[in-house]
Amino acid sequence: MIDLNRRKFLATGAAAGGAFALPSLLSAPAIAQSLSGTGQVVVYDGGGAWGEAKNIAYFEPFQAETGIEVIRQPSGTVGSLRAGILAGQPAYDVANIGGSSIDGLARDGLLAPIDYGWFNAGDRDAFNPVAAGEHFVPALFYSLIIGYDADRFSSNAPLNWGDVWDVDVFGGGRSLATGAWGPDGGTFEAALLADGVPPDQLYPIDWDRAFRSLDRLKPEIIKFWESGAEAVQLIADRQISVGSAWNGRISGAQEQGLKIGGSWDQGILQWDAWAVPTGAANTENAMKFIAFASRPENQAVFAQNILYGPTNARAFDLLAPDRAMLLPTYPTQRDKQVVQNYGFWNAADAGQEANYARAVIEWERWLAGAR
Amino acid sequence: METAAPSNPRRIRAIAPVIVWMVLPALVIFGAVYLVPLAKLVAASFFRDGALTLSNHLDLIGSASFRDIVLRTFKMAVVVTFFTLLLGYPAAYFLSRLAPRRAALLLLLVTVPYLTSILIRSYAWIVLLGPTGLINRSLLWVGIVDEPVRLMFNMTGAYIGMVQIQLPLMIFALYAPMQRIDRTLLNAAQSLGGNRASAFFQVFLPLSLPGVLGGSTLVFLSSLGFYVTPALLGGTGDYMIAQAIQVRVSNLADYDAASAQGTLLLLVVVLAFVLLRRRLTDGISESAAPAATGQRVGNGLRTERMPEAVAQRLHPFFRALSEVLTWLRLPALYLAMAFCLLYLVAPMVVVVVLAFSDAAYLTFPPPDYSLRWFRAFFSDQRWLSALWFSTLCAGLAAVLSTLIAAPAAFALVRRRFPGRLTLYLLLISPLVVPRIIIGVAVLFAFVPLGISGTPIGFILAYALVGVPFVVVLFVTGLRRFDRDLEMAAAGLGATPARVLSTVTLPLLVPTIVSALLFAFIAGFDDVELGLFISGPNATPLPIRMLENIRLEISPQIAVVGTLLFAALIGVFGLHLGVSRLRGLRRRFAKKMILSGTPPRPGAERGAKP
Repeated sequence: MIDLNRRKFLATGAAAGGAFALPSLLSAPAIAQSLSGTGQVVVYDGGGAWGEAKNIAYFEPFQAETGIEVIRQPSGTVGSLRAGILAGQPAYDVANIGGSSIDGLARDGLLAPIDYGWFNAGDRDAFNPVAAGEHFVPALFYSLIIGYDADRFSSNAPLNWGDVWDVDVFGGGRSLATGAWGPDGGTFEAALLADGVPPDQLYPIDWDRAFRSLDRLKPEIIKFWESGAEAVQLIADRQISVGSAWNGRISGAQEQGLKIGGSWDQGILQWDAWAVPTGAANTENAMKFIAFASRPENQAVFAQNILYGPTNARAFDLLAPDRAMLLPTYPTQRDKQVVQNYGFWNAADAGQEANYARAVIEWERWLAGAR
Repeated sequence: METAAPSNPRRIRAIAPVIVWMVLPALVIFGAVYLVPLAKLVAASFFRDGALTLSNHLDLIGSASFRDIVLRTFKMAVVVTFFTLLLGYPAAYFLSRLAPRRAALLLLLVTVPYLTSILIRSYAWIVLLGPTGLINRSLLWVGIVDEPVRLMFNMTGAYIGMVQIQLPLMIFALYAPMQRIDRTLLNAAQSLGGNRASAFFQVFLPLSLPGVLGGSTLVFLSSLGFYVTPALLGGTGDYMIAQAIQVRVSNLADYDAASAQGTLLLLVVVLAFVLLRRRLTDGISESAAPAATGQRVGNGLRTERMPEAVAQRLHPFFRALSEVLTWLRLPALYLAMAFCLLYLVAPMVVVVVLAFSDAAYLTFPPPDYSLRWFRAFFSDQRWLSALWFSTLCAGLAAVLSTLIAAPAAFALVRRRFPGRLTLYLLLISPLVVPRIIIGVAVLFAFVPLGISGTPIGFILAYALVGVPFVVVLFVTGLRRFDRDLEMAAAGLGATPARVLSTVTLPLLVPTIVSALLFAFIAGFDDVELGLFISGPNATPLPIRMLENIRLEISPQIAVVGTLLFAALIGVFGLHLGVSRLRGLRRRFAKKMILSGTPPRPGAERGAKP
């Protein structure tokens, strides 16, 4: 009963904070799981505005509701995560993993099966457009979109990848994510979309065509960006006029008053997931945390604090339209974008190399002029 | 030499117990936390689908892009070494002519580049080098150029960034041996008819070569590991082997592919060392040092003959150069030192300004100034504990690596035993093996021991990567060591321990200080090891900083750099105060005591260059 009251309180609180509490949610199954427990849970933080949004939406309320202490652990890489699990001491109880890396870890038995018993009824099936899986639960959506100097292109702005490649109409330097990140920088998809490949025919990636397209833009590319922050900093410093950037970075810059525009058209929709490494010290607490972070009302608070899309689609019912329409998974926005096909990226090609690994090798060959 | 190889070949296998004890601590720690886990990792790269194979390595050697990356990396390391030597040599020469206390103050300033994270430093470079940056604006204003020069996002930018970060290492490696060169030799050369410049080329330059060798070794090897700086300041094609390896570990989690590349890199370096082994074994042996006594000049010159021969051949050129340099000497030296300091400190000035920014993002000049980022720092317990954790672990690790590596360096330089070159290569190899691979290896070693994610684990790991700096700096320092002073003390009845504490160690103070400093920095600046062995109760500062800049770069990390800079200035001031006090006390003491300890070499040296 206490949980029920709290839940209601949260919904009202969210409404007062500018969000909508629609009847559909209030009439949802009434019994919420009690997640109370003891001890601690070590959770991937992420830092900066992202870490703060998680803290407000998940860490502090989880701690208050369950009595389980949340330890915020700085982010590592897939490589450090896998090594920790293999060595028998994973860095986190709850990891945050990019969608492109989930399959490989799960296939090798490095992720514990999610215990959906802790989930509130209805939450598991509400995940959309990516469903919750056996070993992972999507945590957030973000999109690799087109960012541009809004001072320079105030009337006629570059809207899609074709425009990014059109250096005659849209002058100035360019920057794309380094292809050494494989799928995570979206550079291969961007190159193909710019070359006129229809979104539904992107996969399997036509490597030759992608690199021919990159060849055409290369003279204008000042550099390939290496961190999410750099993509936007390059525009802010007027080093480039147009490039790829993550939507959260663009909106973050806009909130700070920087004149940077963004276009969702042909954006590459990506996602991260929560997962529990095999051998984590606090597995049960980790499952409880993920269940908590999968509740729509908590995801709505998260989306209030940072412009990453909720993965439990019912969170949209709790968000005011003017906030919801800024999110990458808002229906009209989502339809303009391409959901990145992690299935393709994890599949092995004929040479037995996973496509994400092949991307790195092809990229290095291209840089060396050996393609 | 009393420690020369035993004449009886059968005795070669029997290594004197004292050598074993000097080398053992380093070997034990290396074996446990480095060699064994690394060997497992390397062994794994020789398997494919469960079968022993060379194909992982052969595929790499056959791949045009891998050869391209390796070549580019070596070329880059050579160029960086050349420019750090070019800039560092005059600066170290200038410093070596100052009174030690004054030099120490300037040397402290030289370490400024290490105080900030690479990401904020590279932003500072953008402020300075960008098309609308300070340098381009000055060039345009003066009228040297008509339009902005491209100084970054190409190889120039990468070199500017890399040389700056390696310059302090070169200056320190050169300074310690130079400082001990007996200046009376230069006076002697001049009194025999040479001008100042020719005395320099004939006497000083050859005597300073051990420092050149040591500094170049350190700079070259650690340059092979560059990837963040070229990635941030370089152009589209400046892709280095450390980056290829980092991508394989971090993004692909393919440790086999990474260690195959790491193995080949190490192999190339070892091969180079083996080819150069004659010079290197000479390089780590104590050459019969200061060419002061007649007997030794002959021996001493053997290792220096080559440059001397070159000098002879270039004699007319050098003579002309000498004439010019004799006149330009002082202004040129001051100019070189001033340029070095400006080069090293300029980005820090930008960082300090950024720390007081009121904006939430990096922009220069800041739209407004405030203390908000300082308040944010001091109100966040996580920043403070990370700072404390890093300082503590890197500090203790520096002491540990000096304690284990210094005796080993003594053994390398002063004793003859089989496997010396191998031992030397082993001890400096953590510089060559990509740090991220060491990270994977130590994680696998630490978890069974229960020390991953603990201060002990960090101290051991940091000590490991500090050892190469200690070894090379000590080898460099010991080579130009005047053994006569030790023998004199022993001859006067001092026990070996007393000789060590009253003669050897005091003479080695500059070496010990540089070794501690660089061992400290090796740990304090580390990101890669921290990525693997951090834990809920063990998060070092660079990991905290990395967390803060991955997605948004705020002036927050400029605050960290500024605070460290302020601490350095504080030490600077304190040092200045203490030395002034000491100076007063010494003047007083001199009146009271007539006899003293043996004069420090170079004590008669003038305070001004």
